[in-house]
Amino acid sequence: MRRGIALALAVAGGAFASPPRFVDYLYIEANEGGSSGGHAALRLGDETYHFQHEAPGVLRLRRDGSEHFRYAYGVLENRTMHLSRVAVPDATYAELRQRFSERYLIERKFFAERDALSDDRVLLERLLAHRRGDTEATIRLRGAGFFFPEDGGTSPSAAALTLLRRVKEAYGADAVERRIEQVRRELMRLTPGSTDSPTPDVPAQGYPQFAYPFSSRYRDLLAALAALEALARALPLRADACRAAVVEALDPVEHRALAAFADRLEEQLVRLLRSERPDWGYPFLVGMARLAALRESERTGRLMLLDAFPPGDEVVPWRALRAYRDIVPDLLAEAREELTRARARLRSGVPIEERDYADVEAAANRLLELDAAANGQRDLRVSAELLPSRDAPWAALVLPDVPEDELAVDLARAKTRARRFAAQLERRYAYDLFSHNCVSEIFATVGVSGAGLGGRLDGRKALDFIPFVSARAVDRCWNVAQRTTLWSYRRSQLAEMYRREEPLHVWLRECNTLTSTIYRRNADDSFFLLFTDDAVALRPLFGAVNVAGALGAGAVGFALLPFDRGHLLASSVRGALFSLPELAFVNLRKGSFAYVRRADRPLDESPGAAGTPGERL
Amino acid sequence: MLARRVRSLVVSSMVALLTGCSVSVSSWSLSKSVRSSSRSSDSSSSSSPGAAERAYRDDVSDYTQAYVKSSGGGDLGNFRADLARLAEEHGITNWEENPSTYTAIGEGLAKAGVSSAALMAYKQNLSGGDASKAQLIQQGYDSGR
Repeated sequence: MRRGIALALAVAGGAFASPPRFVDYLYIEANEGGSSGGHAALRLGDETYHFQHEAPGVLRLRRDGSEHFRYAYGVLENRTMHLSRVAVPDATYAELRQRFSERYLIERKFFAERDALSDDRVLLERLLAHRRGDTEATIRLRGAGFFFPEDGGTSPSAAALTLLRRVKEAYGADAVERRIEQVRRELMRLTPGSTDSPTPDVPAQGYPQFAYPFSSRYRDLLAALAALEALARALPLRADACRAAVVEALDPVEHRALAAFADRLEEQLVRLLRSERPDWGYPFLVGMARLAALRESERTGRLMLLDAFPPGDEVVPWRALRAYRDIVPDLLAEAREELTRARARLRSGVPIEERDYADVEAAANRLLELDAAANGQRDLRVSAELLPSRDAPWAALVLPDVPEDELAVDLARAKTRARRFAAQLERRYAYDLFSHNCVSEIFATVGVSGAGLGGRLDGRKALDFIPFVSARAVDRCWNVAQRTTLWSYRRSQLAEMYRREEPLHVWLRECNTLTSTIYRRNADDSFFLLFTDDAVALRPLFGAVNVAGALGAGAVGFALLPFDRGHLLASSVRGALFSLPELAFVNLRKGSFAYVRRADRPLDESPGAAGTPGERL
Repeated sequence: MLARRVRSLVVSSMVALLTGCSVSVSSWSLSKSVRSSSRSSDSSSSSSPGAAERAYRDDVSDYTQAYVKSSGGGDLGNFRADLARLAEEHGITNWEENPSTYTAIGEGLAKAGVSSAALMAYKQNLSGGDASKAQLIQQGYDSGR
């Protein structure tokens, strides 16, 4: 309270020339599994930065939208967060943000290079196979899947014919054919980079500069070739590449907005052909596909969209979705809300840009997918990102004009480079329990920025590397003006119930997984009977019940082993393990949720500034 | 000896148990059916209008600053390629047609402290001869100083 008053006085007294910005250190309580020690994060307004321990034993910096972070960890993972807030001037905030952003971009570049070197190896293997006569070897070409392989017997697309005509008007009647030949020659002249050092350099500082990978150059040119082929033949969309949104017809304002966007997109595609960016082929394929969908929307008066789910997409199996069939209506309602929100942009009267259209495309895709899975009783495709990237197997590889033995040498070098670079990266970003973890790296990045948050903290000292200990260190050493608890989903629901109902009834009903109305059994959770996160005094007793229950379930699981593939047995073993700390008053497990309706999510203060109205996640 | 090893194992296990940094994501799959990007550019986010645009500009600006500071200019082909990947994370495939791209590049160049002469070169090379794009870079540069 006193610190909150101090904060208010400082603001009123002009300690900051403008309203202060806030840096929030988040300690996230433990849950079972890899998060049993808790977690730490730094929230900077709409962005939350945190470090995650991932395969193969590396520590990766992740950046999430703050609302999403709160929902994922606080609601789905059901973990209470403890927030320590420091007020800082704009310059300090900007410097801190810049440091974390830069670190994020640099790290991402390193891992992208690792993946590109691996792709070099894969591509060279395919090319060598082709050179040796195996013409079945293909590579997956991103974006080409909207047009290739061609659906047999279809007529040229009217939208593509118009686009082709405009391209010829702009660049000449034989421009497309000339460009195709030019791209083919470039592909043949491409060398796999045999002059590259076998030991790629991993710079210690700064944004890394690497030679443009061979596989990237090759794929860029191949995508350009696919785009030009699709244009030259005015290919229509594949029948399975487009879907009709199951929503009401477009109103006149939406219709006009989409038609105007389609006209602008057509002009942009003409310009894209003369772009200097090496990777223009993929955006051209997506743009041409979207143009076809937009013209179809114009013609029919209904929203027609590309299937935007990426290849190799994650699925929720139908049997899992069936287990949650009671919440499917809520999922559908939320998906409809998202689509309504996205469509509002079409009705705003302001010309829409690519991202506005992409929002409508993504929201409609999610709604269509949910609807199709629920009604068609099939697996549900899900994806955090929805950018149209349908790929196609491409067998017509253009072979570089390089002798076979030289290709083989290039392949060997590529394998060595990829292996050595991956090893260097794993050393540089290796997770270490004591010295390189989610706490130490937050403190290190803050330290490098020189941001004046208070005393300097080193996550490698004493036990500060443990997330819950680090939170105390932050409260002790930084200029923390405010501490807030962001309760987990279950705890916030309990608080609401205690206010409305007879407390004893609530406690008896909600303390166990059998009668709880808040928690429903989640297959990802270990087996347990009693919640202990809100039962401190009774924790050892509840823990003993949990251990006994898990052992009993384990016996049943053992008998069911041939039938359930050991699922119950594994769950019981984990359950017993995570119940043991409860005997010593330590709570780890909280239970988790696959989904929570928007109306039930906790109401929090907006992450941007203190005192702003709360928003429901 | 054995007792010491057992004690060491128990302590290590306790310490391992008390640290974390990993995350269980399998329960999030169903929620991905209605959540889009995990960035603040999330279209389903209830954050203020323009947040997605700001996020994109901040990223392009930060990227430009980092790239120019380390390379002193460097290969613009690589610059464009990395910029394309960044733009895709924000749902943009054709970044050259997004005006914010150029404003943000200008801001990043200003933060990197490039000279006026270097700015001229960037404007010429990145705008592709389009005066309006060059003007946007200039505006971003002026606002970033």
